[in-house]
Amino acid sequence: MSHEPSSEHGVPPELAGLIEKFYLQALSEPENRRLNDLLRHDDKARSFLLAYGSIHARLAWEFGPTLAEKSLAQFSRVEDEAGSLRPHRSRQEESSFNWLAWLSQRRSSLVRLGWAFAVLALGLGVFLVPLLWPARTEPLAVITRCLGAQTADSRGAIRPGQRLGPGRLSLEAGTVELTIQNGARILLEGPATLELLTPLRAYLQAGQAVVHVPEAASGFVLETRDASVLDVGTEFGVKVGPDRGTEVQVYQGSVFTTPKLLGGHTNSPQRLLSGSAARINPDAVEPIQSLPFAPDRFVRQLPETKSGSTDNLPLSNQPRWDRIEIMQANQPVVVDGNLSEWDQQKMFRSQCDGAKDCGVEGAMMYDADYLYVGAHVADPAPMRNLIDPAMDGDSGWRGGGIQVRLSTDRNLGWPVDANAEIYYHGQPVKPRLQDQNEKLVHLTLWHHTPSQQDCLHVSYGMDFHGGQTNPNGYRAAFREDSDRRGYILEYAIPWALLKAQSDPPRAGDTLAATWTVHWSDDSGRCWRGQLVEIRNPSEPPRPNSWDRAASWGQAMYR
Amino acid sequence: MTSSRDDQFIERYVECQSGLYRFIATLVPNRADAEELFQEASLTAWKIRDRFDCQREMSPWLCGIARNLVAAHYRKQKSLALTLDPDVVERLGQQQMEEDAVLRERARALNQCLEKLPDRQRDLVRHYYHSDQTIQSFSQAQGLSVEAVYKTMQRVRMALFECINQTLKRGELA
Repeated sequence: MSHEPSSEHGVPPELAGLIEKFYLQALSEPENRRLNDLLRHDDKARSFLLAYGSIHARLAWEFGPTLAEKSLAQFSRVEDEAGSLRPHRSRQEESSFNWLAWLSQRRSSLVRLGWAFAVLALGLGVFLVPLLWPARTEPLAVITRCLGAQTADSRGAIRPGQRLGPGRLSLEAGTVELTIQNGARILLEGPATLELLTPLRAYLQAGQAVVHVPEAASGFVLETRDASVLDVGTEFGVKVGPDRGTEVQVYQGSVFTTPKLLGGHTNSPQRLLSGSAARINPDAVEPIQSLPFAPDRFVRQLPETKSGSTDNLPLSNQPRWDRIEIMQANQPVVVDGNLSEWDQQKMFRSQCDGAKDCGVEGAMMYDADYLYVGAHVADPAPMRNLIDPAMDGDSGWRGGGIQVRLSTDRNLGWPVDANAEIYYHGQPVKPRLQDQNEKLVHLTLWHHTPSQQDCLHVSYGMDFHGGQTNPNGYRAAFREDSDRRGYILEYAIPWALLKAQSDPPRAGDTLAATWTVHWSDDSGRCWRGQLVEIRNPSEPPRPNSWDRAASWGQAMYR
Repeated sequence: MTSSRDDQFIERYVECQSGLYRFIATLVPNRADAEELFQEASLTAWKIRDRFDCQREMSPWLCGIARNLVAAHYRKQKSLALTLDPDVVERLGQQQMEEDAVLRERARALNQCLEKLPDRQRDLVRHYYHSDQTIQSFSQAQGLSVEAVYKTMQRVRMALFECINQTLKRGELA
């Protein structure tokens, strides 16, 4: 391409110069009069302006902040509560005008600050950026409530009352309620990363969120990598999983969902009404596919606390165990929710710090065909899990249960050098084979109360590929304590599901394993916290074990 | 109007919205003003959607709305250094409709030409248009002189203009 201005196209240099200055907004009054004269009398001059100006316009459209949703947002403001579209009333118009004025006054600085902070965060490799906002400046949002909120950085505690500016908020676990300055509320359920951009726009990078938008804040847009979801005075949930695709469920009102195509282009929006759900995947033949509506898929409201406190710290523990002995089963194991045939001496015991009613006694056994997991969990709200295995098998832990992660690869030894992508904090790294090793297995064990199913979700590698829920071949039993203060679980999981059918672990092996026990609130939907045991003491303390296999303790097969 | 008709309206609107913005931004170089007018045009279209005949093209209808808004915008301008007279806006609007097919061809050619833009220029243009800043503050933030950014933007636009001409002349439109 040529880079120098040229008049080969036959445009008089004077006109070309004036039009260039017009787009640079640098015309003097006489020049402006001259340009108007030329355009008034010369259709070629007008043709040139239309052709040349459309380049400026296209660049602004292509590279500028997205305008498509902004214009649709105008439509949303004439949406009434019932979701039917009607002409604007004057009072609403006034409200809309005020909003526009507000936004136009502040948008530039907010966007600029948002990007500046995002770039700064990336540059520093900071994983947690809940951008605390100066007390004298109006914040973009305020954290109003927390339940078990846990950040990736143990120093970065989240507390109600914290003021947030534009920027990224990464939540490792738990639930946080943000209230944006226009009254919109976002319930963010960890693990999740949300980027606050403006009062009317946020980007959900990963995880799930429920957005409740009052009428006055109608026009809020929640973007994901796959779609933008435009609110029209409503309540909706959005989930961004590790795979391509965004799931949207509308509780009240309606939303417009717009799949994002390659190159930043968008597809036609589709309206989702209250009581409907869809999966948006721009790569699919049908980018918007219906899903069954499942009321419990999202946390819509944080439970009231007994003390009335808005801040519930997550249950947690200081790990006590660096190894687990996995005994060979001397007799057939009956999976019946009764641990009488288990050697009580080989069980590890642990409890949450400051919560005696939340603890675990756990053990594992093995034989030629199965790995057995047995545990008694002290839980004041036992077996209430509402996470539907048919819909959200990978999230079964949220409602209470146990996760076991283990290596069945003798070649990896211990400790295992493998990490999930998130461990690298967005830094570019070369793909490593061991990070995808299918013999690094993640098991989630829970009892789905509504269907009375004893569930198992299994996935492989630190990239969590090949996820299956309730696969064939496993056996499980749960039994609630007679005093309703805990439960027993017992599982037999075939080595085939653990990718070790041909060469299962044997006596003398030292491999890697770790346990995480999860508790929920009374509803069986809101995560309260966790206990992590069987940890590698040489690794720096970290709240979770799922992203770094080196933090797993020793699994000693006897 | 039923919801399904509204949905249909929105679908057609989404197809036309980039053209609507292109038309407005061609006549109004200030991006903030162009965006406000774009939003105003969208809202006006929505409010009077009952008057739109679904059997007809939507683009001319939208551009008609935009033309009136742009003319009104310039009538309110106090500075005489950056205005288009209402009759000029009217003539440009008329000509835009007459040349709509050619301008669409040019827009398609521009897709190809944008791909050919050298990375460095493309990055600068992207940052400039995405920044939402004035050219003065953008230049300052980039550590460049205003003149250098002016020149670069001018070169990029001229290079794209000539690339479009060449693409159409050689019949290379994909």
